[in-house]
Amino acid sequence: MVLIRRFKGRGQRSSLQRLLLLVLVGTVAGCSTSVLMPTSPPALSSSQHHDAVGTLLSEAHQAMVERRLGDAEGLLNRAMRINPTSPEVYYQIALLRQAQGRTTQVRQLAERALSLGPNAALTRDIKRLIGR
Amino acid sequence: MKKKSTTKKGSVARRPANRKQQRDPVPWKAIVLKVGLTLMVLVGAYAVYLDAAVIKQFEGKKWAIPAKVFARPVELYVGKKITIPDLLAQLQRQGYQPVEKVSRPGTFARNRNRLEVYSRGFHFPDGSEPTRRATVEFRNGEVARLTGQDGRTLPLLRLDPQPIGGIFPASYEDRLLIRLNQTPRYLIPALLAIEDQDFYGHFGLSPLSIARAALVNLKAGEVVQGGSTITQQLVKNLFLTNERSLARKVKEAIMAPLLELHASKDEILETYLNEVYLGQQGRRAIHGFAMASQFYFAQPLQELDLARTALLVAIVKGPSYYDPRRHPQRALARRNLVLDVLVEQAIIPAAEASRSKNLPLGVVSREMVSSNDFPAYIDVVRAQLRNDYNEKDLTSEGLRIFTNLDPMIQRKAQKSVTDILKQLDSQPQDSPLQGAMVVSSAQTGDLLAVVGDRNPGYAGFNRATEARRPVGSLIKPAIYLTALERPDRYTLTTHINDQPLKISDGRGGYWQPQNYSRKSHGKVPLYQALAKSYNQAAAGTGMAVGLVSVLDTLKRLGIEQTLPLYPSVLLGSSSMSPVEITNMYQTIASGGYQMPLRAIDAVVDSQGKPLTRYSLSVERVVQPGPMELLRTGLGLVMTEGTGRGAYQYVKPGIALGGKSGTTNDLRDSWFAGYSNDLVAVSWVGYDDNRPTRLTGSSGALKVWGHFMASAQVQPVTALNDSNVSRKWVNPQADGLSRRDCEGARLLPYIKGSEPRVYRGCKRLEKVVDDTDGVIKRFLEWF
Repeated sequence: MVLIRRFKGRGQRSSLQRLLLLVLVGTVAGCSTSVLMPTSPPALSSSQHHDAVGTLLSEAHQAMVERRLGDAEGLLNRAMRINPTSPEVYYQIALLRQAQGRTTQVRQLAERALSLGPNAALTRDIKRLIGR
Repeated sequence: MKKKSTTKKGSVARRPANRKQQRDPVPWKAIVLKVGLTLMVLVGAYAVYLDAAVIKQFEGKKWAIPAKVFARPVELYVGKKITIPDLLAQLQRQGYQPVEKVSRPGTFARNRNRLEVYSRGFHFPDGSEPTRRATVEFRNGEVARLTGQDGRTLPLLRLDPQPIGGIFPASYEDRLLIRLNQTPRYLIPALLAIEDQDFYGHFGLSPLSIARAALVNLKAGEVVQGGSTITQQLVKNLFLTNERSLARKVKEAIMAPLLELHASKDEILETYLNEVYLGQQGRRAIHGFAMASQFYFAQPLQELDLARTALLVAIVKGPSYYDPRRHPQRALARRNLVLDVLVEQAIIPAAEASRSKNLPLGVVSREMVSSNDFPAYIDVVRAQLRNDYNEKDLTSEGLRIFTNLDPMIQRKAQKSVTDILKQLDSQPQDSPLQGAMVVSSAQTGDLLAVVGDRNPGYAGFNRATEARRPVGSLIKPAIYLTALERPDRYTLTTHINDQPLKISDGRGGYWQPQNYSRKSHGKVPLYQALAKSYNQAAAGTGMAVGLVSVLDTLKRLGIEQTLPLYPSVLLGSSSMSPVEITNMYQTIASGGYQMPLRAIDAVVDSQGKPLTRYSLSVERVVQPGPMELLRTGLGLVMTEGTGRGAYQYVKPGIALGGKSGTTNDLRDSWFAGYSNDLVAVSWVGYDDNRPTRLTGSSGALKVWGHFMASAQVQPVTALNDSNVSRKWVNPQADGLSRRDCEGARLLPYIKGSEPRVYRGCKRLEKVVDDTDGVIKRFLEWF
């Protein structure tokens, strides 16, 4: 009796490789403006629960870097439950969807992040993600 | 030769007489030998046959482990809205023990507004959560401080999740597997002392045990010990029936040594620990010590103290006769007997036994550990799982299902349905007034609670998912949203006609909708028609924007069923379930994003490996501008329309949005609405569809308001959209006004559609809706 279900929407290798490459380039360049996935955990702007959400976002970030996308999903879901109107969380989920190759969702989640009033820096990152 | 011949003759002649004598000494030895040999061959063959059965069944033994369903875990962090009583109740439901000083996982200690919790570790789909000792400080209904054992701030504390049910195989056997080394200190010594003292010495059968048991029983004056070895009991449980016959005993006596030949003592004991039957709850049979520990104490087996361990061992002899819930005195007496035997065997000192004897049984109520406390929610989970997994996997593979059910929200929702229905239906008849409620997370679509009946835990007809009823005015937001998406024609203050109309019903007749008050109100601002739920204005607007467009809007909002192209759909003649309506209002609550309701978060296999994650997906289906206008209108429903009764329960400053629904002859009473964090839909009606004498406002709204007040909801906030501007207007004249004018309102407009002409301060809103008059309003609350 073997269960064959696996993660839904598992990431495509090509997009994952692209993403990792971008992260590496960003790290080497030491700047955070030209990468899709931030190399350091995102700073929180208006979150009411800084420590809790911040901790989860850091862990999710680490999980994404280590390509533990399932773990990252779980951690981001927890962050979203604690603060369901945090644009940072939706932005991170959009990045995760990109790593998973779910491109339609990248745009939808990024738009959702934009609708939640991100600060200027985050707005720039989100817009860059969706090429606006 | 002759002699010889004679002799021979003589002997032949004598033979008849001798033959008789010779027949007498029967060759018993030979017969016994032959019969014995035959029997040995037969028994041997039978033993070989049984041996094959033992090998096949024992070595291939794989229990069908039902999928376990868990609620969302309680997660504590600074800012988390939760009261001390709510958290205490939840901890106790999960078997956490109140103590003076916490020293082990699964305990807590309260000191006024501080709570020290020693959490249990748990393996979640996103990783393992270690056991933690933390101090939680509360202020104003929320967590104000969270510190770890070292005194440093702890960002998060996640408790283990509450088990809320299982998906059982046809046998309804429920069990949790444990390893021998996972048992509490005294379990094995106590079990062997009572059930089989020679376990590690015998070969499956123990004449000594039988003799000793007889002696002990004689001394005690009752049956304290059984003569069957653990191996025999296991053989009986695994391979044989409960039939009391010699044949079964013989079979058991042959199979027990055979089992010993093939399995080690530890394997036999471990299998026994997981197999033994220890209780019953309806059809559900409790097997194994780990499940029994959850069933009787709501605690993991490893946490059991001596007294509780002794009680489980005591129950082995007769789970029904010694049922600690039904026969506490019997169970207590036998538990203490077990403790005495432990002292006799020098397993524990007498002082410890006497301390344990003074303890109560510690059994939690049946309701607290009900395997199906939230049947309506489990229904939804099961339906979703059946799309993705086959039944056999669900009932036998030990899957673990992590759901989004919030046990605290679920209990509050159930309480609101139960309590308010009791008020509304003070003398329930054979078929009482019924209710249903669905609650989801406004921004994420997580399904938090499903109530399918006024009676908590009732596992029958699930009205939240199965009862499809006409939805009445709940449909109206779709009409006005369709209109507001045409800013060149409609704004919140556009005057629309509330007047009699006669429309071809598409089936050869005419449809002539009436207002609830049977009066028409003439030209009224759009928001007012929505707030007061005028039928003629809604039907007229729906026809003006086009039935097809309205149906398209409903589809975008999340109504999946194909609705007929009849005008009466505009006033909610179509039947829907509360869950379907939740989908629709979820889209409005999230600001225009459609997201499927998610009952399940993740599924992992028995080894903890994630199999499926039901991840968030969103799709913008309504632009923020029109959605903000609609949400403003739905906010006005709450402050001055048919939803204002909610503020009898909820603090008036908290902005909410919602809509009432009432159907023909007052057969269905609906309310659907949201805060910033929750969407809730409530329905009240009779199963046989007879009139309730309740409108949406006087029935379902009360359930809704009661729930929203108890859930400590957050106020709705405006959507961010650069395409919306807010203006002070005189709504009755659909023109600009000033902030200081009486009756002036600040309302949102899609840029370019704002009123351009200044209409001054004149004309206050006229009160034209006599059904909403003061007396009626007053009466509604009685």
